[in-house]
Amino acid sequence: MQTRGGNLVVATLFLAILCFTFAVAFLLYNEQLKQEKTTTDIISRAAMHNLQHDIFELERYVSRISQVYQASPTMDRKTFWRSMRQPIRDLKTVQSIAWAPKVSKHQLTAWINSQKAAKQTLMIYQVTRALRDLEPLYYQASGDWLNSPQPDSDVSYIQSMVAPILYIEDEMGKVLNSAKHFREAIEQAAISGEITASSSEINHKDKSISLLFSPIYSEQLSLGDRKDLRRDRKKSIAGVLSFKVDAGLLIESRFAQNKSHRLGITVSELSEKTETVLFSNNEMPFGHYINSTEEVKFFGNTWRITVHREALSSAIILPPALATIVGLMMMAVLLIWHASNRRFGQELHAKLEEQRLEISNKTSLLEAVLAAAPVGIEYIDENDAVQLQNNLSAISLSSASAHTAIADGFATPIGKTHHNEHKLEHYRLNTTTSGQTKYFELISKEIAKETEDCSEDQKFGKIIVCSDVTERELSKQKLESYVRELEQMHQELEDFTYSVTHDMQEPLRRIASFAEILSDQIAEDDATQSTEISEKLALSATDLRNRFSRIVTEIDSRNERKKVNVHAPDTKVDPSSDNEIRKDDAHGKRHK
Amino acid sequence: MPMENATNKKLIMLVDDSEEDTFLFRHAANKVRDDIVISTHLDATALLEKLKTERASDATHTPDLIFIDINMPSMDGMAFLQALKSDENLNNVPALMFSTSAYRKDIDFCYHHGASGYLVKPSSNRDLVNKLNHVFDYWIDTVEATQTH
Repeated sequence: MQTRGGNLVVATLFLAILCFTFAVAFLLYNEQLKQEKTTTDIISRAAMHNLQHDIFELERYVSRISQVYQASPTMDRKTFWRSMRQPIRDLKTVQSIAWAPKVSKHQLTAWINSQKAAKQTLMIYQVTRALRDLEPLYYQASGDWLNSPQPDSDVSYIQSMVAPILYIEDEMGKVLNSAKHFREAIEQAAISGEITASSSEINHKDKSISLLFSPIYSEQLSLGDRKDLRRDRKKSIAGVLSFKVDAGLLIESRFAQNKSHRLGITVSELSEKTETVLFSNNEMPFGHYINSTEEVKFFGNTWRITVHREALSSAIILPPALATIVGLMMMAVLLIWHASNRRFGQELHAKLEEQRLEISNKTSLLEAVLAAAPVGIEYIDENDAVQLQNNLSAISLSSASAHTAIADGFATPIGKTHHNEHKLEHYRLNTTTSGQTKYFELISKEIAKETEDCSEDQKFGKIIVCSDVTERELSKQKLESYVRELEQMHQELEDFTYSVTHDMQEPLRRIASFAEILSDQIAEDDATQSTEISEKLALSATDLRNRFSRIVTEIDSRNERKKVNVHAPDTKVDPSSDNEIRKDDAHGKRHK
Repeated sequence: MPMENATNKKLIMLVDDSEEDTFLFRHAANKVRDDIVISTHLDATALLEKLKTERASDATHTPDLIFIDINMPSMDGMAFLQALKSDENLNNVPALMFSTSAYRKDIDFCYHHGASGYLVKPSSNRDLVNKLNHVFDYWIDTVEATQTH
């Protein structure tokens, strides 16, 4: 009995020590497990949050730009640009995504150059499109104005036409960034019917300057007013137009074929010399001036000369009679011009078709270029202008290949989401060029024009912002795979925890049960099975110790592996071999 | 394995690879009641083979209730359960899972594959006795057994 009592004490002590060891080991392991889970959770959550934030910001800025664009007809030029610049700047900041991998300087230079080239193309595209959108409005506006009995009431409408054309002129000026290119573009546009305008070149202070005569352009301009806009853009259209406009005339001609042509003519203070010759009288009171319309017949054509009141500066006012005389003089010049180009009409039509075709080709190419063009409207410096022509042809080539790639199905849209609230559409184009996969994102927003006079097709315009999101996309993919890896690790840890708890429970349960039976037997003084039970108790205890050492070994090896996986995410881990290890961990334990 | 084969006694089987656990089970079951015959088996594959051949010759060898441990080496309890339930001669034997695991997936899996119950091995002998008492009370005294054997 005494020996048996001694045995019991030893067994109980042994049991107590084992339980204590187990508790400490398990607590330590559990703490480690918790810490690991929290760290990985934080990393993945933070990265996802950044990504969502960037996308949200991008959408917000695009939305702001489209709002400004929609409101542009009611704004003056300065307000328009003031409102437009900040969101555009903001939009560009989104491109520098916080968690995107850093790039080296030489890579960045190449990237900036490609950005610039693509921007030029994007802007040409925007201008072409804007011109096309605005064409019917111009015809409508000038026609309405001409036919209106009360021109004054339509003044605001005419003015509302001014803001978009200024925007286009400015954009176009920046895009081409040279008076020569601009003039050619305007001529092309005029010939192809994109806009109604004429151009001329004068020599001003030993400098050749191109002038645009646009039909509605009747705002008084002076160097001072435009100073802020001309900043560092001496060759742009803003600079070209920095002369003083004194009088504007709208002349409508009807040719024998009963075709109506409206030509906008602006008589301007071209230089001090011409000012002196043409307009020396600046004492006429403003109120004396009355709009007048004269119809005159020459060579079978009917000419209507309308004096554009808004085109007159407050400084120099022409009396109606003088204005009519000036108009007649200008008309005479036009007639001479027409006479010297008798075949102009036929040529015009032939050229028109040719140009239309060319522009249509160009536009479809530019549609494709959009896929490669990053967002941004900003000033292009003079150095860029030198290489403009080269860039344009290079871009045309690359855009052609991009277009072909899309048409041939090499570049495929890989995603499209639609947000009802903002009418924003996201496209992702996956273009494979020279073995590299590129991702682009197009965010487009349909905007309704504030007029009811055009057809359904013309009622909507689109603002499209496109950006190269390759880096972002790759980072996202990398992140997603990392998150998947982490999830797998979590699952693995969960399985491991299960195995450990299950493994430890079994011998403990047995020890407890045997100890219980033993103590019952001692109490009942029944020693028949005591030896067998004591042996089983000892066996279970040994089993427990073995399991402990197995788990400790396992934790050690896991720690080693975790160091590799977690602290070096870039290290390529062979997924197949890794999975095998995990499978062993997850299932091997459970099935002893 | 001692086979106290008496026709009026219920045949209770346990398949568990641990000798300690079979000892504890037998010890507890014998404490609960004496109108049962307990047959314990360490190897699930061998037991399945035995059940199939014996069932063909003599239906009296078919157990009235079978307890199945899950974590076993050659054939685990789940595979044994599936094999049992797919055999048309044995599929009406009430099968109770008897495991340390309280893992939700394991429990769901067993019920899905036709287990009549799932018992988690209790951590003390007293609890095991209580549990077996309830189980036998239900499966032997309360419900009607199938008449196929």
